[in-house]
Amino acid sequence: MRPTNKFYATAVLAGALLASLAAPRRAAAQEVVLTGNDPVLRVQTGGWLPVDATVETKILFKRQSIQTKVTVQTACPGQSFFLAVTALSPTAGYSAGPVLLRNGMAPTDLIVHVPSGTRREQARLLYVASATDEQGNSDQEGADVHVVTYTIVQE
Amino acid sequence: MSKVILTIPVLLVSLSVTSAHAQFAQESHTVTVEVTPSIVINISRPSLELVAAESNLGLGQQAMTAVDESTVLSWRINRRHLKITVQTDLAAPKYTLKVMAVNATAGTPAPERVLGVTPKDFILDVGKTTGTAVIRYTGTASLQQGSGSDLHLVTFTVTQQ
Repeated sequence: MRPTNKFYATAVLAGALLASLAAPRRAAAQEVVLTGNDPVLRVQTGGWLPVDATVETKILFKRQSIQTKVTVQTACPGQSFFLAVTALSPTAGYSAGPVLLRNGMAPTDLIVHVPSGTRREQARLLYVASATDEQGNSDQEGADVHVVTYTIVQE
Repeated sequence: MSKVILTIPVLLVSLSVTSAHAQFAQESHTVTVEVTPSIVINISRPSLELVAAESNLGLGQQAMTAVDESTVLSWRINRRHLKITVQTDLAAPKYTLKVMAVNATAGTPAPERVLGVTPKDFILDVGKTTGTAVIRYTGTASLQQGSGSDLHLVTFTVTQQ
């Protein structure tokens, strides 16, 4: 029996469906954007009271077809000092509060309950760095260089 | 045969729906933390006076002593391998003045020292610590030395160990 046009149409449709389902879901870089230069925090310890260093930047993120959240994690081999990040005033969802960034940590909630949709949203990111005397200084211990990763995931 | 083709996409749809916590997007940036070196040291009292009086002498004793522990040395240091030394500016004192750290909350106190113009160890291992220590001064005078006074400018220095 020779294949019919209906057969070919069905095969093409099935093939397209298979391709869309089987292809790996690649993160679209434009769905989440970190604005500004890479933050550098310098903790000043010259007095009796240490002065935390703070830097603020911004995250832009897009709503998805389902409710999502934004998580954060870091990689910083040989980390010496404290670093935390807080999402401030998100235009969608709620801030989960300060997140202590530790080398090798699991992804941790930063912004939760982001509703579904198509709008682009944003939040300020406040980084706070601090150090104890026991942790030393970066002249001798080296600076901490974190690769901080933000991910939009299904909630 | 057409029934077989239609079955395949239905099966794959059900498999994709069962995967949880889909990841939609990800972005990273570098965050650098630097901490400046710091050494801060403080003495709680700018001056003190030790008075060795004859009334302190016990029967048969030849030396008068006076002890003071009213001064506290405190420090905050975030550099490694440091110690605190002590010295006086008085090259030829009439009487003997000794000093040592007591009740140190960090570091390793050195043995009691006779103060001299050459720096001597006061507390070791104070690198990367925050701490305090009481400064014990002990002044000693013998009866033969008679009365008088010595004026010392005592200096504590944080230095490489």
